[in-house]
Amino acid sequence: LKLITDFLFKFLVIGSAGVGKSCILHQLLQHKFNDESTHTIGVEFGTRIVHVGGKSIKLQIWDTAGQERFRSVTRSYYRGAAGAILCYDITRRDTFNSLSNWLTDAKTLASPNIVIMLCGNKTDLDAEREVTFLEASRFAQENDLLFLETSAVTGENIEDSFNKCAKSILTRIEGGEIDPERMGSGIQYGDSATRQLRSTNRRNAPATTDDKCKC
Amino acid sequence: NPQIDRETIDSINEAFFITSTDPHQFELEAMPDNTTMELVEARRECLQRQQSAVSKKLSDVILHNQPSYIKELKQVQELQKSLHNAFVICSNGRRYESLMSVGVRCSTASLALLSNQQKRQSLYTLWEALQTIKTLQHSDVRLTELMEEEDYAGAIQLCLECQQAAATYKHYHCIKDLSAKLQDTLELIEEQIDVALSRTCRMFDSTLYSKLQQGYQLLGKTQSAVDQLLMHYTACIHNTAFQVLFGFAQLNKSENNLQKKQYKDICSLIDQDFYIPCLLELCKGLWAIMHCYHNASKWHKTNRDQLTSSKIACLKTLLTYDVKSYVDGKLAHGRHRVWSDVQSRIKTFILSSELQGFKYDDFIMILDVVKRFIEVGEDFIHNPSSSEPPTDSLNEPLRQQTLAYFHAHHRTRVDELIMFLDNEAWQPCPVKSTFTVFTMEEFKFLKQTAYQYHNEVDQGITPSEVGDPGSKYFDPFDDEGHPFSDLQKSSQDPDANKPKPCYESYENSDDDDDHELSREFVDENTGESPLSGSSSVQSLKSPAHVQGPVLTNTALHVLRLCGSYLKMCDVLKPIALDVVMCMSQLFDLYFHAVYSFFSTDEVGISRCRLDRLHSTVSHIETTLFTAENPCPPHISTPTNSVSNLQISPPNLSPAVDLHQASSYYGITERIVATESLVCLASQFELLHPNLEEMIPALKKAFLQQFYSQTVRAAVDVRVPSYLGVAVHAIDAPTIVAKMSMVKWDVREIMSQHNAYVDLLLNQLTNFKTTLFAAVRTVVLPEEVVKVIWHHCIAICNQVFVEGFSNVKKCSNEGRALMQLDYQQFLMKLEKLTNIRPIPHREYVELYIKAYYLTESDLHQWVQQHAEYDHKQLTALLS
Repeated sequence: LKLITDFLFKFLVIGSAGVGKSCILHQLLQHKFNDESTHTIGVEFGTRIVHVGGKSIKLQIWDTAGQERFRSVTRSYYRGAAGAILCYDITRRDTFNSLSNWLTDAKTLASPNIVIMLCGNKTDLDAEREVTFLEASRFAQENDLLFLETSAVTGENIEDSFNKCAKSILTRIEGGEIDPERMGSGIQYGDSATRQLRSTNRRNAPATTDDKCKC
Repeated sequence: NPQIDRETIDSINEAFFITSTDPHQFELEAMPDNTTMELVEARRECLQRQQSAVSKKLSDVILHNQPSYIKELKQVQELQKSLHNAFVICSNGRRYESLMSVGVRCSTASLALLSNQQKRQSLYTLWEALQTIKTLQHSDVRLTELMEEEDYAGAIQLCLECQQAAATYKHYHCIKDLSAKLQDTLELIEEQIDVALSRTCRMFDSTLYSKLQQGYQLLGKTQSAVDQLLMHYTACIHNTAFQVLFGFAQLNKSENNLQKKQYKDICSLIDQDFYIPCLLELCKGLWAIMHCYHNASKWHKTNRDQLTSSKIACLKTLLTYDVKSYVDGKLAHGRHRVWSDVQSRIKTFILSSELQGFKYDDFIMILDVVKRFIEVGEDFIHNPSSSEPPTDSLNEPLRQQTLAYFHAHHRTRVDELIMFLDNEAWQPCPVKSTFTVFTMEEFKFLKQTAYQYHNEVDQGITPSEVGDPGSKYFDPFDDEGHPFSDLQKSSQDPDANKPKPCYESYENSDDDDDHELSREFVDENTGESPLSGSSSVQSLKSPAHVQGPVLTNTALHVLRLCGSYLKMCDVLKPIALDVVMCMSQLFDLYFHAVYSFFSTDEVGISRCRLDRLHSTVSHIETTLFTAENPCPPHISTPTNSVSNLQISPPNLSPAVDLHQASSYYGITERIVATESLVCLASQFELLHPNLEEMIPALKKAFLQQFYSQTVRAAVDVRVPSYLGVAVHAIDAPTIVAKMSMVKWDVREIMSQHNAYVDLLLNQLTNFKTTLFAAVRTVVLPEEVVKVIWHHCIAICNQVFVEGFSNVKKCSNEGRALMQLDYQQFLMKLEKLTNIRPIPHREYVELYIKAYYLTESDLHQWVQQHAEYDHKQLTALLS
């Protein structure tokens, strides 16, 4: 049952209390909606392997507590995250309003290259909507975020949000925007196959780096 | 003389009374050979006498019977006369009749009439017979009707009657075929009744079953019916299991030729997504069969008397008794057979697939189902009168699978925990002050089971005392439902059965949160409020929003994992030892991480009280991090796999910096880490009784060792952990340098202590304020302060001894000054630290006083006091 993965990405799920972060993770991992979910204490954890762009990527997902009093605990987990799922509740405007605070936290505490997916959760409660799709997508555009509206109850866009985020990171790695080798990038190479491939690559690598140095 | 006559007659030889005897001949032959005249004469006389007696008797009899003879003779004459008359009348009549010719015709007619009458009679009989035969033929239709109505007893009865009737008419040609046909029908009925019997294995209906039993009784096959029934059950179990699995295997589209596969192969084809529904369906199906069996035997219990007494005559009592006990014995034995058949099906199913890929909740679900099924089985074969141990072949495979699953599960959990440790920032996770493991969601079941156990003990009801077999899992479900319904529900909707989260949860509620926030807000605004007392009091109280025990996220995670482990153990007791060992590994891992991250050995201070800690740490290192290390014999029982984890030790998160003076060398992290370890240890202590209960008596040594060596050693980690802070308390080289500048060869007793003591005390006071100020988000516990002060005191003592040993020239008054300095230091220190008396003061005092010793005493003293280093001792001797 051992799966060989190409990369390991460290992911965060952040956002105000009660927007459904743990439920999103639960839906992602168990394909079920957990309607008995309580406030997260500190940080919880889950892993999942996604297949994006021909690569299999292991996501190491840290589900943080949204409550203010856990902030000191949760902040320490930001360091070196490659991606973040930033959640708000479409039925609660205050959760949308506090997004910029979360964004600052993520950009300063995690890696500056962090790829953030904005998730407007609880689309199943569309009747009680307080935040429109349009303004949220404008906010996402302004801050260079990916954006999806999700529902942990129906499972809508849950997998997509993680996949797209992972895919975006992968594209940036391939495009050279992100260097997985840099400390705190939140990215590690996966098992065996890639590692061997990489070590052979690296043996050939010095020539090119030398070239660069000369330039 | 009649008397003499009778004697004489009696004396007559018997031979004379036989008519065939020739008396002369007889008498002559009776004569002896040497006959004398006298003898002959005597014989003759005797015979003569006998003859006269006989004659006399004869005449007497004749005389006596004379009158009746005459009377009889008269009658004979009368008869003769009437005969003659009759003859005359007859001959007259004959003569008269012959004259009438018409009379002849008349008599022929009557004779014809008579013969017709006779014919009619016989035809009537024939008609009746034919009528019966017709009915017999029609009865065939009736028989099929009866069979459709499932009135087997009626059908058999009718059939038997028909056969009897056919036997009476067997002289008719047509009957021969009919009786052959009836025989066929009877066999057909038997077959049908057998089919119906096999149906009762799936759907027990007591009225139908009664009919069937009546039918078998009529056939006289009650005994073979039971054998047949048991056979049907075996077949039914086989078929049901196969059908269920076949159905689920079909969902797996990639496989063809399912029909040809064996049960076992099909088992391994079940898709993982369908595993639990399949298991539930299988259990339900098999339970339904067992339920039918249970009902059948219940029927036999209640109906046995009625069954036997109703039809069979009293003559056969003995025989029927045999039948009864035969049936009872068969049924009782059959229970075990049915159960072992059922078990083997489930066992094959469980063993046929890899369970390690399942999620924890799903696996617990599987465990619950199988466990429940075992209980059902125990209920099924439970016999209150016999203590025969039930055949149980399910627990062992379940244990195997669980162990395999559990070790794989543990392996990933350990990796996860290492990742948690790698990422741990050693920040306190706020929890309520009343927090214990038992308030955690994961441990809820422990309380419940303890409560249940308590209840059972209280009421004195043990499960074995509860009445009849099947009373728990069969009788209550007679009408509808099945014992797996609650489990099934939770499989479809995992949260439906969980109680709503109560407000008694261990985290602070939202109200608390607001309260805290407002307090924080107040604190920030007022800053150093003028009302607050001494700085130490304030610093102890200012981060008051953390009232509960200090726990890190990882420590909470360890507890959560322990909870989930124990849950598995709760479901399946036999794996308790492995579970506890794995729990101990989790603790060990946390212990080791805290120790290796935070303990520093910068100064070699009194090590003696840390022996336990060091042995514990090395023990953990060998068991956890050394690959394929043969563990101590008393641990390496069935579970060698537990110890061969081959894991790499975690690394301290780069976010934590233990060398920054501004954060006071990570004092907060140190406190959080160390105190969370201590707290974790105390939570483990709380769990001790529960673990004790689970573990078999033979393996208790492991638990004891774990608790005495590891859990209780957690407190010791404080010592090396806070040392890293304490070493920065004073500037030792400066103090030592200041001490060397003091003039020690004074000639008078000084009343004022030296300035370096004040400097030292100043530094300590500064240390105290800055330390307490540096501690954020967490309360500095009293014990920790004590440990830190102990370190400081030890360091200061070192400084004193070091300083004194540097003194080259010293007078007796100088020694007094040293003592004065040290006394002053101790006095102030007591005030500063609130520790009375200051420990280890002898270390300095003895060193000072050693100067007063004579040379020989000093040599001995030096040998006894190895705690001072070489330089210090040399200084003394010079």
